[in-house]
Parts: sequence; C-alpha cells; structure tokens
Amino acid sequence: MTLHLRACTYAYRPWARPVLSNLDYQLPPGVTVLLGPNGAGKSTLLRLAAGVTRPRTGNVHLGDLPSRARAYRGAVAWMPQHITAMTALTAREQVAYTGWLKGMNRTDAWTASATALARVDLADQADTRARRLSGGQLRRVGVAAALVHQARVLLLDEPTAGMDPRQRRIFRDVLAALTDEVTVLLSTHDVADLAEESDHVTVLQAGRIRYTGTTDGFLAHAPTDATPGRRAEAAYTALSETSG
Amino acid sequence: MWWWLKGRRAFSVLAWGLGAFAAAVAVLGDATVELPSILSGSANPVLFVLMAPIPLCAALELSLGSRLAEAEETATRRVRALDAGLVLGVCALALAVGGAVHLLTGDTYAVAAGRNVAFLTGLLLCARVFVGQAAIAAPVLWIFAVIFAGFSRGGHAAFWTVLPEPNGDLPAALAACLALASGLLLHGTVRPTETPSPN
Repeated sequence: MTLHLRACTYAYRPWARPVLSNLDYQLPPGVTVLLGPNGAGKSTLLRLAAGVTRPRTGNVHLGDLPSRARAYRGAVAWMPQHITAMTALTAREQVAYTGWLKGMNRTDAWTASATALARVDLADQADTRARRLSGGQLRRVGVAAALVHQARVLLLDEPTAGMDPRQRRIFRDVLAALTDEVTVLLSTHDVADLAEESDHVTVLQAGRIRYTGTTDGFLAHAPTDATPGRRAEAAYTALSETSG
Repeated sequence: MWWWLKGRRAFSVLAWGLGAFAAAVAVLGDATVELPSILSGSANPVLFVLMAPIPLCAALELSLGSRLAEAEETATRRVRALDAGLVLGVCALALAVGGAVHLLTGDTYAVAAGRNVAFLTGLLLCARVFVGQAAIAAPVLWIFAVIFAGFSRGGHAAFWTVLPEPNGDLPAALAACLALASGLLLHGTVRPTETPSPN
C-alpha cells in the first residue's frame, strides 16, 4: 500500500499564503529522507500524511484508505517534532498508552512498550516519569511510541534532533532493522547523517517538491570534487542553489 | 483505559478538585458576604458557595490539558468521547456531593453548587476551543460578573446569572444542561487551532 498525497494545498489560516501548494507526492517504499530549509513545509507534509491535519484541497490516501479512516490511523505512526511528556505517566506507560490509543489491547501494548523501549536503548529508563527525561531521551520515547504498534508507515519529524552521536547511531540501527514491509518518511536537517543511508531522498522547498528520487540520483547532484562523506551535504546545497 | 485515566490525572488532580469542592460546599453552606454591585451601586448579600466550583473547574481544565495531543489526534480510539464521559462523570459526582451535603445539612444551595459545576464546566469547554488552557478564566470571570454586575438594587439576581438560583430552579437547571451540552459538543467536534511549525 502506497501513501499518496494528491493535489494537496494547505494554509494554516484561510487568508494566509499556502504552506503547501497543489502538492502531489507518492511515498516510495523503504526509507525516505525529507530535506528542506526551515519553513519549507516538511512538518506540514508529515502532519497531512499522519492525518492530523486535513488539506484545504486535495486528499491523502494509503492505498484505498482515506486519511480520515480509522484503519488509516491504525496503519500510520507519526512522531511529531515536539514530544509531550505526560506528567503522570512513566516512559513505558507513555509508550504503552500510545499503543493502546492505536487500538492495541492493554496486555499487548504493555508487552510491546518494553520491546520498543529496548529497541531505542531506553529500557533502563522505562520506569522513570516521562517529565523527568532529558530532551534526547524524550525523543527516543517518541521513536519508541512510533514503533510500538507495528505501523506500516512511519512518519518521523526530526527524530534525531537533540540526540547525541551514540543515540543517533542507535536510531540508524533501528531504521536498518525495520522490515521491508515498513515505509518510512523522516524529516531531518542532519543531511550527512541520514541521507546517505536512506533509499530515497525528497527535497522540499517553499512548499514544492524540488527533488524526489533515489539516494544515488540525489547524490549525483553533488559536484565531482565533493569530499567523500560530505556528498549528501554538497548535493543538497547544489539543489538548493539551483532553485534559488 | 487505565493509562488514559492516569494520564488525565483522575486519581490525583481530579480527586483533589472534587475533595476541595466537597469541603467548600460543606463548610460554606448558605453563608453570605455583603459585596458592592456595579449595576445597583449598593451592597448585596452574595453566597460564598458561588466560588465552590472554581477548584473543581480548574482541576478539570488541568486534567483535560494533560494529554498526548499528537497521539490522541491520530488515535483509533475515541478519546474525545472518553473525555466527554469523564466530564459528565465529574459533574454527576459534583451533583451527588451537593445532594449529600443538602441531605446532611439542609443547605439551600448545596445541590445548586453541583448544578453550577455543570454550568461553569460548559463555559470552560466552550472557551477552551478558542483560547486553550486560558479557558479557566471563563468560569472565574463569570462568577465575578455575577457577583459584581449580576444583582439589581434589592438583591435580585438578573436572569442571565444562573449561579445564585437555589436548588430545584428549573430555568437554571436547563441553562446548566444547555451550557454543558454545548461545551461537550464543541469539545467533541472542533479541533484546536493549529499553529504553523517552523519546519
């Protein structure tokens, strides 16, 4: 099943300039990294894909499922940019609660929450109150919450922001361990960190798709004299300047 | 459901709010204080118990605000319906507390305090659709409006005040039901205003 945004236009206010204009986007299978400058519309695209925001015009589907369908919400997991810490819940309870919200029964959600926290290397903080976690730990709780109910599509909004290098490596391992049945779209500013390990890259600028295609095709935009290991950055810069 | 109740702080904040309401209704009874009215320019006897719903309304606001907004907006479970059930349950408990105090003490306004919780909670829910957590100001402002502008010379309450009406006043009961129903309807159907993300 493919996630498809068709002719989507979205503005935060009816009178405001649209953040996304007549956007057509089909999410390819595998891991796709969504790049773009601040204000490009990355988070808005993810919110539309998550079904939390409805487009002013156009529609969002996963296969035949419209984004307002309950089955759609069950199949899609979204990790927002800002992770809320539930005052009264522990890290594990917060992850389990997210699983329960997605339709899991209490026992399954509780079991899956332990597994999800272990995958992001946060098992030792499972019983810590969510509000007492650091910013990086809370982001890992967000990743665990996105993983807990075995969604088919993962939408991750800047999942590595605020993570230290070790945590980023763990996150990359989590991505690598996902089965082929899971489609991932993640936005990031860490171009060098993630783009070269993804299957596809999409570059969004001013609400329009500037580039979408394979990672190799994206890297081909880098100048031939680009330093190895910084090719993704060079490719992104070249694409940004071309459109400029 | 357990995590939802715990997340909403039903066993801490809401329990405390309900306890504070019960204590206020039992202690304040039918006691009054003379306060000036802006409209009449004279002092009127105002019931202390008009203030009793404030801690419970504040607790409800805090409870409903304790949420995983992102996960709940994309949930397959009907969280807003659960919230509506929680609000109705709290209002029913407030009425029961008022009824119990009335039976024990014979206070004329004990049940009315429970009814006022329903009315003010309705106002709170309507306001929070537009102003978020600042909505707690709505019931407080209403109470102060009633106290300082709701009484004419001679101490008669204006028709819109609702709160000073005694137990069993049908128009006030209907107004409370209407306000609560409107609040629940808005809470259940209107999404909070979205703010742009920098990215």
